[in-house]
Amino acid sequence: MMLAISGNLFAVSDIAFYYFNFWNVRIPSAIMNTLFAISLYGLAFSSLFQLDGDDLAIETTNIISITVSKRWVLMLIIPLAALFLTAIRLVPVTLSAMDILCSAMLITLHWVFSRHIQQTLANERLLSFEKHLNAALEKQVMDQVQELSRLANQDPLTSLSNRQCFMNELEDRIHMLENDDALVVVVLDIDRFKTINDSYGSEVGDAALVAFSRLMADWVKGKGVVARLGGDEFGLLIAGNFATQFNALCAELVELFSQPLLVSDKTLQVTVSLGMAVYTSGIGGGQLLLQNAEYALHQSKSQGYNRYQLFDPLYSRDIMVVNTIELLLRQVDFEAEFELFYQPQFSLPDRRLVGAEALIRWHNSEHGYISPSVFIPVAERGGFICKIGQWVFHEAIQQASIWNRDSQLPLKIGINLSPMQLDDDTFLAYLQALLSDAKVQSNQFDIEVTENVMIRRMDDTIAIFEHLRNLGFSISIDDFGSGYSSMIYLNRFPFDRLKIDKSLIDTILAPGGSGLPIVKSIIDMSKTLGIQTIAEGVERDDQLELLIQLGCDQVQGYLLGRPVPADDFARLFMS
Amino acid sequence: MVLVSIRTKLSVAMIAVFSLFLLAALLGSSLFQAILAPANALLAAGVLFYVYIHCADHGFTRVSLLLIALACILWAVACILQAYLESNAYNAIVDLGYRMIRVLEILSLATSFFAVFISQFSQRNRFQFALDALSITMLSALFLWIVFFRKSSQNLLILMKLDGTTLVSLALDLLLSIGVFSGLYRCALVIFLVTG
Repeated sequence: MMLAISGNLFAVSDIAFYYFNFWNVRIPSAIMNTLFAISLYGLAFSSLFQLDGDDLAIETTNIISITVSKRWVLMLIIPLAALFLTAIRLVPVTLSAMDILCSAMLITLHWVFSRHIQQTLANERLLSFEKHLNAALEKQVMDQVQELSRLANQDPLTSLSNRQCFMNELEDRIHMLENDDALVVVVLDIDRFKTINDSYGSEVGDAALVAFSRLMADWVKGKGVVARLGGDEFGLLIAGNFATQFNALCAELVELFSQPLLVSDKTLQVTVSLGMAVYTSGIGGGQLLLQNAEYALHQSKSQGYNRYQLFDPLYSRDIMVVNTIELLLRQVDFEAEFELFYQPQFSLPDRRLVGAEALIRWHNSEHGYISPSVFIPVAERGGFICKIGQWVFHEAIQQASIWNRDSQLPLKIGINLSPMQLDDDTFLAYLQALLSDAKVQSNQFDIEVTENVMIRRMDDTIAIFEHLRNLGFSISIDDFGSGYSSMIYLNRFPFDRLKIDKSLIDTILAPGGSGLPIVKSIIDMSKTLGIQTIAEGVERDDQLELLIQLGCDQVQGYLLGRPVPADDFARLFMS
Repeated sequence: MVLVSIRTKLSVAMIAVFSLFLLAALLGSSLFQAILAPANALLAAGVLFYVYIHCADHGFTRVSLLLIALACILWAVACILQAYLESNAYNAIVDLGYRMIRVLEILSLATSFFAVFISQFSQRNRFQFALDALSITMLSALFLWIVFFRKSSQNLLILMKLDGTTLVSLALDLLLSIGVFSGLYRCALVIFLVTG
């Protein structure tokens, strides 16, 4: 502002200087020199602001924007100045109507056009502002869409692609696949990863996952894509020539992870299990391919650690069966679908009915008969076995009560006990309550346990067995000879009866086979220890005769009686 | 210890010299006036040159500072020359050398403002600028016609015949005012154009 004022003052002084000289008007030089001095100092003083970096452009723009609408008013000053100078007779002329009209016309025209220009400018500015806002908004939306897309497709911990992104990539690759191309999906799982979290904490676990993901990302570079499918499970999609050498690839991956890994000052030694599935036309979509690779991973894990397995269709069928059964168990109606069958047990050599083994049968309305050998392992893994076991005990004890009322036969009913039921703290109390309600004696029941029971915490198990025996139950070891059959268990656990496994009975008549000497040894040893023996799965007369000769105490099998419902059992064997 | 900025020091120096000049003028001392008038201009030139050296800007603004400093020096020279000529009972305005120096002086100043205007032109609306310049030029022409030439074409012819330097100086003064008014601080400075 000062620069402009000073510049103008200088120009005005200069014009005045020429005016006075032209009209020979004498004025003191001190006045003119003072005006010039003020203007020159003004110019110098205003330049000092440049030392502080003041920007002339900013000041100019601000002034213009403030005063633009009042410009026409200020223009009045020019004719008013002329009017003033003539009025005070400094200039010896008079203003005519034409002079005033010309000035008025110029100011009016300036006002009209200026208004139009300013209006247009305002509209342009508004439009520009709107465009700017729109652009900013669009950019913001775009950024947010990108961020959402990133979050939707990226695993936040490892920054790898997530399952959704992996599936999309897989589907795309399948669609783009040509006839000769190979495509392999590998699912990798870190063995016992939970122990890392348990031992070092989840922070180290997370850092380990990040380190593993980097390791894999480096390895897979140029071969395919890697994604975190969830937890400690990663997916690799390998296409092209590499995919045909999938065994070599998996071996390479197993080797890669066999190296010690330094994570947060901790050296971790991990192993991985891998499952892989190769895409073939007609296999279906990517979802099925990934599922197959996961089946293969399950199969690989079931064989131990640090292994890899190519997808086997038969295994997937088994998995599907297991899943179906698990689903059915979740919604099973015990009373409507489960039933207890009883298989008779006879003493030898008189073949007198001495007891029965309670065997559960499951008839599902949709899937029909489901074998215990299929659903019991699933129930044990899925945690359903305790409820099923309780139901079996309840039914068997109720049935014993009925038979006691209807018959005087001293039958001992064998009930199978799952190792998992021993972990149930309420089991013994429940058993006692059942006996009390049914008003039956505990010595009418024989608890049958498999060798697996003995593998768990030995002291606890012995204590429970002692408790059961004190209550009056007898305890049999089931399927003896099919597993480890360690002699030490016989010494330490208080068994009453030993049930010789059917697999041994099937071979006792085989010429030169080992079945006979083993069965003979078991019977002899049991007699020495004071334990009764019962042979399972006797189906032929000659087997029975031989067992009698060997001194076996009891027998059970299709030869003498199949498992039947309680009513049939009473009718067939108790009448 | 109180730190005084260079801006303050220079400002104080300018106020001091100008005060002495005003004092001389009030006391009617022709000698001191003749000495201090060019001293004012030279001090202003010195300040402008100092700023030119230390200015962070390297564009048109810096160039304009140099041109304004040059205008100040030329004015000082013209002032000294005028004092010398008048001391010899000679009217300075009729001296061609004096008139040429005045022309160069106003040319430097007008060029410096033009340099600033160039740097600002791209930021302005050209239609509005053209309209402002045209309107102010016409109003100024009307003003000059009434005030300077007293509505007489004879006066205009006399001036045109008298000498070219005066005409060029007047034109440059007018352009400077119009340019500053319409190009930079047109609204705030309109009053100076009126008197010009």
